[in-house]
Formats: sequence, C-alpha cells, structure tokens
Amino acid sequence: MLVSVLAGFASGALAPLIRKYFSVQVTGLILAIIPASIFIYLSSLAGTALSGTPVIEKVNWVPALGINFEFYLDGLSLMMSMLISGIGTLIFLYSSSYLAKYEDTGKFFAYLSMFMAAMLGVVLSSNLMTLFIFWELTSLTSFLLIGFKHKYEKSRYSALQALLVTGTGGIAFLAGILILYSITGTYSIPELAGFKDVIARDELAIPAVILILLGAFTKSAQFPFHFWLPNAMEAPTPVSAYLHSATMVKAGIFLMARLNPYLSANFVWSEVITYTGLVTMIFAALISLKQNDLKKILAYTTVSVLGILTFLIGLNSDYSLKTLGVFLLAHSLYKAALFLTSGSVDYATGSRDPFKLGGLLKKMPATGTAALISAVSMIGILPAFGFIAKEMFYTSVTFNNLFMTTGFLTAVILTYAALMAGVKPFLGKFQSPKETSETPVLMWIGPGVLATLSLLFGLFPEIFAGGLIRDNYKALSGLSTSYILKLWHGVNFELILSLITILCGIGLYLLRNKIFNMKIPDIKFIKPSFYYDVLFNGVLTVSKLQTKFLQNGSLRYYFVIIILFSLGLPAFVFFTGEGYKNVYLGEIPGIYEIVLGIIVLISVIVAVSAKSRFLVIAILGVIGYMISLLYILLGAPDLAMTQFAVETLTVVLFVLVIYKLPKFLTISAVKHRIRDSLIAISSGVFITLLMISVYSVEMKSEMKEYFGDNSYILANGRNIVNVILVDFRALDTLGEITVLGIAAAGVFGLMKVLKKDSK
Amino acid sequence: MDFLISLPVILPLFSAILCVFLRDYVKAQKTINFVTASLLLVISFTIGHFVYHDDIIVLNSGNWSAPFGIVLVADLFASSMLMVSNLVYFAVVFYTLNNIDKEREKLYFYPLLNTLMMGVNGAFLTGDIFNLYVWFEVMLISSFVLITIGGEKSQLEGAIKYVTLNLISSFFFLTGVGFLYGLTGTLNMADLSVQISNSEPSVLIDTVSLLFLAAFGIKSAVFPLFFWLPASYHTPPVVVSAIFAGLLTKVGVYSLIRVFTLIFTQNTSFTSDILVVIAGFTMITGVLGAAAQNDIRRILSFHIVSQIGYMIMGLGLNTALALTGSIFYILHHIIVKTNLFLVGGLVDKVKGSFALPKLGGVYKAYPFFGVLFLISALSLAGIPPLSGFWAKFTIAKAGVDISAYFIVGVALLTGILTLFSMMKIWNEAFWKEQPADCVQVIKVTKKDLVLSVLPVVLLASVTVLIGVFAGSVFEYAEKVTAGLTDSTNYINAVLRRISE
Repeated sequence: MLVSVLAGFASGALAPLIRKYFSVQVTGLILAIIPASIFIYLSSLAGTALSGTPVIEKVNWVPALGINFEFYLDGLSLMMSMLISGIGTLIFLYSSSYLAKYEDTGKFFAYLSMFMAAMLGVVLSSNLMTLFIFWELTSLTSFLLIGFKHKYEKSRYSALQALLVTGTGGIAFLAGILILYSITGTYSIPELAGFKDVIARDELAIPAVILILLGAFTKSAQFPFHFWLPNAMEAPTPVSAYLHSATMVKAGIFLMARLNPYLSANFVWSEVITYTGLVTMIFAALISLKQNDLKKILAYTTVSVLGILTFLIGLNSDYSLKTLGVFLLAHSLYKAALFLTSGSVDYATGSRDPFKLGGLLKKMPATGTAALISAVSMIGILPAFGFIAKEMFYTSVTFNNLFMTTGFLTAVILTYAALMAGVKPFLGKFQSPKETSETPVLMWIGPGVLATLSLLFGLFPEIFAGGLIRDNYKALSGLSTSYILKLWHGVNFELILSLITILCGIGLYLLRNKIFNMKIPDIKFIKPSFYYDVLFNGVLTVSKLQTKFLQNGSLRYYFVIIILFSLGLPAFVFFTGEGYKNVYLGEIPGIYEIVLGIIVLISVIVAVSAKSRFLVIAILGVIGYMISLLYILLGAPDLAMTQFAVETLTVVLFVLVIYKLPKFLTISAVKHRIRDSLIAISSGVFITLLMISVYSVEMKSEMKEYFGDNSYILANGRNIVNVILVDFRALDTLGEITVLGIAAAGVFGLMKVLKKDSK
Repeated sequence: MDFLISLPVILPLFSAILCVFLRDYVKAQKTINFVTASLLLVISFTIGHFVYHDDIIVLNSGNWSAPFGIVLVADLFASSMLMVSNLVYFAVVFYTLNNIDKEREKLYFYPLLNTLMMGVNGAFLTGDIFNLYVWFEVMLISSFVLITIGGEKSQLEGAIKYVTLNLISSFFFLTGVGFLYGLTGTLNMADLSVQISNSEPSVLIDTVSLLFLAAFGIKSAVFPLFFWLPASYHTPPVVVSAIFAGLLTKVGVYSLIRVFTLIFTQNTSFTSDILVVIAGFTMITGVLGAAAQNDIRRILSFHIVSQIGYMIMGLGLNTALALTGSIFYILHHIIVKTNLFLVGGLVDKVKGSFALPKLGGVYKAYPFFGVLFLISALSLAGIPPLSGFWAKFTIAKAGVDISAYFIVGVALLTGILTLFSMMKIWNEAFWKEQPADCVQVIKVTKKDLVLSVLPVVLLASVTVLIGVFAGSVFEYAEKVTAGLTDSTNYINAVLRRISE
C-alpha cells in the first residue's frame, strides 16, 4: 500500500516531464494508468480485506516518536480507496480532454496525482500521525488545484481561504492527536480500542475530541466552516468533481467514521457530530435554493450531503451506521457524475446557468443520459442506488421528529437541486447560448461509467456492495452484522415519505423562478464567510498596529525598551533575593580616590547637560584621564599609560571629526529627557550595587597564582599582563586584532560611500 | 587529530588575509573564497563524523590546559552547528559567485565573509566564556561592515541601529563575564559549571545569569529585544541577508542553550518560566510583524524573529524532548531560512524587485523557482513531511507532555500565520500576473541562472532529506541533547587534562 501512495507522488513529480513530450490527451491517458492500477491492486486485496482480517502493512519512519507508516485495509478504507482510485481514473480521462485548451496542464496533472496519492494515504493510514501528515498534504495539493487559474484574483482568494480554513482545522486536529496521545500513549487507531475507558472518563478527552472534530469539520465543510467549499468551485470542473464528490471533503467524514468506534465512548463525540451535521444539512440545502450556477448548486448540495453523513455518524445507531456506507457510496457516484456533466455542459454551451439551459439531451445524448440517471439517483427514485440510500436514511431518523422533519426538508431541496442540475439542462425546450454538440468521448465516458454504476448498484445492491457495507459497519461500530442490502423493502412509511419528498421537490422546481427572484435580505453578519473576512482583515490590522507600535523606527525608544527589559529582570531577582545582603564596602578610600571620584561625577553631569559636541568630547577626555590616574593609584602604571594614549588619541580624532558634523540639536522633549535620565541613573545604580555585591564575595581563583607562577618559567615573560595577552590567552588577542583589521576595512568602505554621495 | 578543530577558525582567517592582499584581483579572491568554503564544509563534516563516532574533541590553544588557557571544544552540539553552518556558508558562497557586484568585491567583501565565518565557528567551538565574547565581537564588526559597504547613505540607517543595539548586547555580555569571573574566578565554561554546581545557590549568580539572558537575547532577536533585526536585515545585498538570517541569531540561541544547560543550571525553574513567556511573545509578535509587510525580505526578516521563539520555547520547556526539538529546529531553520533569502534573490534577479505589489508571474516564467520556494516556505510553516514539521511537532509534543497547553497553542497558531505569510509571497510574487507597469526587461544568461539556482537546489534537497530521514535526524538530535542534559562528559573531556 505504501508503494501505491508513493507511486502517486512519483507520477505527480513526473507529470510535467511527460507533458513536455506528449499532448494533453496522451499525458492524461498515461497518468490514468497509475490510479487504474491502484484500483486493480486494491480490488485484488478486496477478498482478504472483507474476510474480517484487515490487510496490514508497517514501515518504520520515525520510530523514536512513534510515527510510522502503518496501513490498514478494511471495509472502510477499501471503499474509500477504491472510490479515490476509481473515480480518479475517470477524472484523469475526463481532464485529458477537458483541459485541451488550458495552459500548464503538466502542473495540473502533477497536482492531481499528488492529491490522489495524499488522499489514499489518509484513508489507508491507521497511525494518526501519518494520517495527519497525508491530511495536510491533501490541504496543500488542493490549494494548488483550487488556485490553478491563478491569474484570477478570485482563484487565489479561494485557494488561500480553503488552505487557511482547512489548515487551521489541521492544527486543531494535530493538537487533538497530541492530547489524545498524552492520555492513551498511542497513535495507532486500532490500539485505541483498549483505551475506551480512558477516553470516556479522562478530563482531557473532551478537548481532544473537540479538537479532532474541528479538523474533521473544517475539512468536510461542516457549518460554520462550510463557506470555503463553494468558493473552491473556482477550480477547473474535473477538480471540483474529484475534490467534492469522493475525496477531499470526504476525508473529514472518513476520519469521524474511522474514530467513531473508539471516540464515541466519550459522550461529547456523538452529540457534537449529530447537531453539527443536522444544522449543516439544512443550512446548506437552503442556500442551494438561491443559486443559478450548476457548480454552485452542486457545491451546496455537497455540503448538505456531508451534513447528512456527519449526522448519520453522530446518531451512532445500528441502522445509521449501515446507512452511512450506502449513502456515501451513492453520493460519490452521482455527485462525481453530475459535476462532470455540468463541466461538459459548460464546455459545450459556455454556460452553467440552468435557467438559460434546456433540451440538451438531443444534442448531447450520452452526457445527458448520464446526467439524468445520476439525477434520478440523487433524487432517490427506483431503481437507482440513491433510492436505497434515501430509504435507509429515512429509516434512521424516524425515531425523532426534529430529525425527521429536518431530514425531510433537506431531501426535498436536494430533489429540487437534482432537477435543476441534472434534469433541467437536458429536458424541455432547447435553450443554449450557442450551438452545441456532444463532447469528445473521453468526457462522457466518465459520467457514463458512474451513472451505469449508480444503476447497477441499485439493481444488484447485495452483489456489488453488500460485503463492503457490512464490513464498513464493522469498522464504524466494532460489531459484525449479517445485514443484506435490498432494493425493495415493500410499501412502508419510508416509501410514502419518499414519494411525498419527490412531489414536494417537483413542486419547488415548478416554482423555481419565484424562488430565485424572491428577495431575501442580505444580512452579512449571519454569513460565516463574513467572519472569515473580518478575522482575516483583523489579523492584518492588528499586525500593522502592533508593528507600528513595536518597530517604530526610533532608536531611542528601542534603547529604552532594551535597557528596561534587560536590566529590569536581573534587578528584580537581585532585589527580591536580597543580593545586596552581604555587601562589604571595604576600607574607606583615600583622599586621592575621593577627589578623582568627585571630578568624574561632576564631569559626567556636565557632559550630559552640555550643548556642544566639543565640550562633551573634552569632558569625556577628562573622565578618561581620571580613570587612568586611578590605575596609577592602584599600582598599574602600564595600564595607565595605555589608557592615556587611547584617551588622547580618541579626543584628537573626535575633534577632527566633529568639525565635519552638522550642528548639534536638542530635539527631544523635556519629559523624555527626564524619563531617560531616570532610566540611566537607576541602571547605573543597579549595576554599581551589583558590582559591589559581587566584589564582596570572596573569590578563590587559581588563575592569579598559576599565571604568576608560570609566566616566567613556562612562558618566558616577566610582565604577567603581557604574557596573558600574547600567550595564555593569545586566541582572544588574535580575535581582537581581527576586529581592528575589519574595522579598518569598514572605514575604508564607508569613505567610499561618502565619496560616492558627494559626487 | 585535535588540531582539526582549530581549522574552522584559522582557515577563514588565512583566507581573509590572502584576500585582503589580493584586493584588486577579484577572480583570485573568488577562487580562494570558494576553496575555503569547500574546505570548511569538508572539515566540519569530518569533525562531525569523529565527534559522533568517537568522542568530544578538545584542543588547548597555545598548549595551555584548561582552565588556564583557552580551549576549543567540539562536542556533538558544537559539531552539529558547525556542519549545518558551514553547509549553508558553502551554499551562500556558491551563490555569491555570480551575485555580488564588483564594487563590493573590491571593498573587502570576501575577507569580511571569511572573518564572519571565523567568528561564527569560533563561537561554536570555544570553551571559554570570554573567548566567546571575542568571537561575538568578530561577528558583530564583520556583519556591521558587511551591511555598510558599497551601499548608499540610506543603508547606513539600518546599520547604525544594528550596531548600536548590538553593542548594548556586548556591554551586558562583558559585564556579565566580569561579574561571573568575580564570583567564580574562572572563565572556562566547564570549570564554571563545576564551580557553580559545587557552590551554594546564589542570588548573585542568578542575577548574572539574567545579564547573559539579556545579552544573548538581543543577539537572538527575541521579544522585546529584536528591534535591530527588522531594521537592518532587508538593506544589504541578498547574499549578506541570507548568511545573516541563517547564522547570526542562531549563534545567539546556541549560546543561550549552552550557558543555560552547562553553566546556569541551578535555578532553572525561574529562567524557564521567563524563557517560555519570552518565547510566546517572540513567536506572535514576529509572525504578526511579518503579516504587516509587503516586501519579501522584510517578511522573511520578521519570520526569523518568530522562529527564534520556537527554539527558545524548547529551551524554556526544559525537558529532554523539548531541547531535542530546539536543536532540530535550529538545524532545520538555518538551512531553510538562508534558502528562502536566496530564493528571494532569485526572484529579484529575474523580476527586479523584492516588493510584492511590483512582483508577479514568477511561477509562470520559472516554475522551478516555485518548487524551490514552496519546499522552503512550507518547511518553514511546518507542513509535513518537510523538516520544519518535525521540529515543530517535537516541540509541541514536548509542551503537551508537560501540560503547557497555552504555549503549544501559541506555537501552533504561529504556524498557521506563518503559512499565511508564506502563501502571501506565493500568491503575490509567484501566482499573480505581474502588473504591466512593473514589468522590466531583464536579461539573465543561462550560466548565471544555473550557477545561482544550484546552491538553492542543494539546500532545498537537504530540507527534503531531513524530512524523509526524520527518524535518523531525530535520533541524532536526541544524542546532541543527551550531551547537554548531562554535561559530565563535556566537563571531563575539557578538564581531564589537568589531572594528567
């Protein structure tokens, strides 16, 4: 299984290369081989996978972190992976024709292959972390696909929106996995079976469950995160067909289904899922009423169906879990077909507005038939597979009035949508913006196959899907079942409800113009996408404000912050820990030292308040000289000589430079000067106190002794300071000499700048 | 064998001196510089190999044993940093072959690159706290001059902020070293570790440790000490920004980790709390700062700040796993960050700008640049399975392990905001069509293009490989951490020679 996934990524990497040498058609056909072979490979494993012992594969990756490729093929992953590879094959075929006039098709196929591979990785993984890794890759590759027509602002906006919404969900998912790990100690999904108790009781399980669900909801476009999905219709139609029928958006459903047997031990799980699904199904269905674009209608009904699937998982009843597999399968088949046929209609007529289309069946018989059959399945009419799905759905909800009413209303609107998207363009009076004819064969073969399957699955449900659904149920509930799929359940309440649904749907359809023209006040703050924009712009505004405040360009302000922070922390520790406790002030200094100290103090005050640069330099010179004198008093004449030389040179150089500088200006306000002087004085006081305290600690150093003993004997030098500089610590000196050399190079460079500017 | 670890310091110095004398012979300078970079790469990996398979390498400079003389020490931590830094340096020097102007070349550009690396390598290798200060000075002056040379007057504004604020760091550092010597009577880091752990806990040591925190905090550009970085990094040529972005702040982080795992290990709970708070603010303010920018280099600069937050967070969480995460993070970040700047340079090369509003259409014209950008950008944002994901994941997991949920939340949110600003660059520079009035006719020769892209490909491949072989890299980082959490080996290796 790892090989299948890697083959997908590899073929993605090769796609642009293949496209270089072959036409779009041929490239598409070559690349379709990969999903087709994966499909065949998976079918060959079907027998084993459905026999009750899942196929398992493990390859180590980062064992130290417990993150490994662990694959697991049971009914659930088999169904998902066959849908992904099967529909994937058809999408490749369709695209190879549909994209004939597009640019960059090599990249397109690359994204599509990688997306497919990532999706396979998601559904095959049984290690939560590897699942997460593939999950993120689906977000990323779908970003590239949605933004494929990237010269349009709208495409870029939608792609980024999808990425940010699903990406944020992704980090929530990751956080959830980490917390779950902290209470269970495993990333392996099957191993969670042993931790149901912990999941039910541990107080951390609730945040873990909610965070994981956030990931699933954003991915599967549940309310209030659904808005990215209709926007993602900016992608070329084959992408929409793929992402929004069988793959991307089903990843969230898959995740919930996969974790359901374990996490449903926690009461929050099913509650949250049920009501989120319920709200999503009706909310999205209602919005679909007001759409006049085939793809948008299909997009909102997809969201609505995702709500239904979520809801079915949430119910977590014996029957709802059986229904889930049927509904998911039926939806994937008809929805992929309808997306593709709407793409074909667009391709042939240049329009996707159902109000402007009609009677195309004659001109496009193959496409039209496929669309009609798929619409029949979507509405839930005998003998299509969708019929079984809807019957079972009704059986699942009859126990609760709220659920039944909501489910009924949703189904009515879905019927209406199916009529608009699958029937209206093809039946009735011919209507089209331009002359039309049937699409190339590669474009109707996909929908054709899917529509045929919708029929075959409906006619012979047990043969095609029986084993799959039973094993699916086992994966979802952990229990075995001998349930047999049947098309006809006899005349019962569900059948009657179903008939009423269809009649109401047709009623809505007849009223379509009225509904579409109905004025509904546009209240933007009930739209979640409005909050996305608000949040998006909010972050930008906050970041601008913050940056203006923090990085405001004033060096003085930077100084203040840095000094306050850097000295504030140590000062806090020093004073709260009473670091000044054992201060030993030493002997009273002699008269010379006192005089020197006073001179230095006075000089500092004068220097700070001076209004001319010349004065400042002169006074700094005075301070330097006083310090040199201090060295003499302390018995270090050589150091003093050096200091004298340095001070003299500095003053002379400064005087030379000052001559060239502009006039000295005082531009700061008085209050700032007071503030700054307070900071400066307290910093000085603190450092001084710290120094005295450090000085008070008796130091036992071997250094002095060692250097004293050895500088003559081992290093042949009488002056210890010199020996330290050029021998004991010669590496320091080497570094400092380098610094001087570089500084010289820098001065040279700066002078060039000045010359250049003065030219 | 021991002499080997002096080469990363000595070799660039020789190269620098040679290049100074060959100022007018640009070609010769180029060759010398390239050869030096290649040799440094080989040497650092050889050192890394020996340290990994045998033991810590210690070299007594001037043959004066520790703690009296200055020792150079290559342990796993130092050698890992050495390898990655010199790899990145090699890539940048490769990139420089075709991307630096004659004027700078004649203004000692190559000697400066060399002295910069001398400082960086010295800082990693030294076992002496004052010597570390010296290498910081070498780095500071080299980088300062690199920012200023050959530039315009406007460029100086950034340079002034850069150098003044970094001088404050030097001041705190030097003060701290003085006090530390006053308290312990030694400068050797292993000896300091011994002296401090043998003495009673002391408020003075804690106070001094915070001076070091401030000094290295400024160098690492953490909140609220980072101002110098966004003020200056976008001004010099992109090769200079690239090497700065990859290495300078990381030397600061390296030093922080070094002193807080080796020397100041007594009162860890207090410093850890401070570090975690700093880390949180650093991540958020940095990433928000980036969101407000519209220039590739400015965006990337702010992201350096934000990413430093993760490394500090790992240090602050103060568990073995967290530290492993930090180290993984540093190693990954050095490569990715440098590479993003280089990709920015490629964009500028073919489209003539770094400003997003003026850019566009790069993906259409140069799809391969897009791939290179995505690899590094997505890695930076922590998208699996690239290197950054593993680094972030390890740190996040370490946080959850000790129930530090809040900071983990901050770290994850920062991740999504990072993704946002990377995709902003992608949307604007790569996907959007270039505004018609900004299109310039730029001729780029094939040779130029190939030479400029190759080093970027090198670093991008390493990023991918780190992701693919995350298992091995993680185990390596774990070993590095083991050498930090238990410094007995380090101390014995450095001080053993006394007893001999």
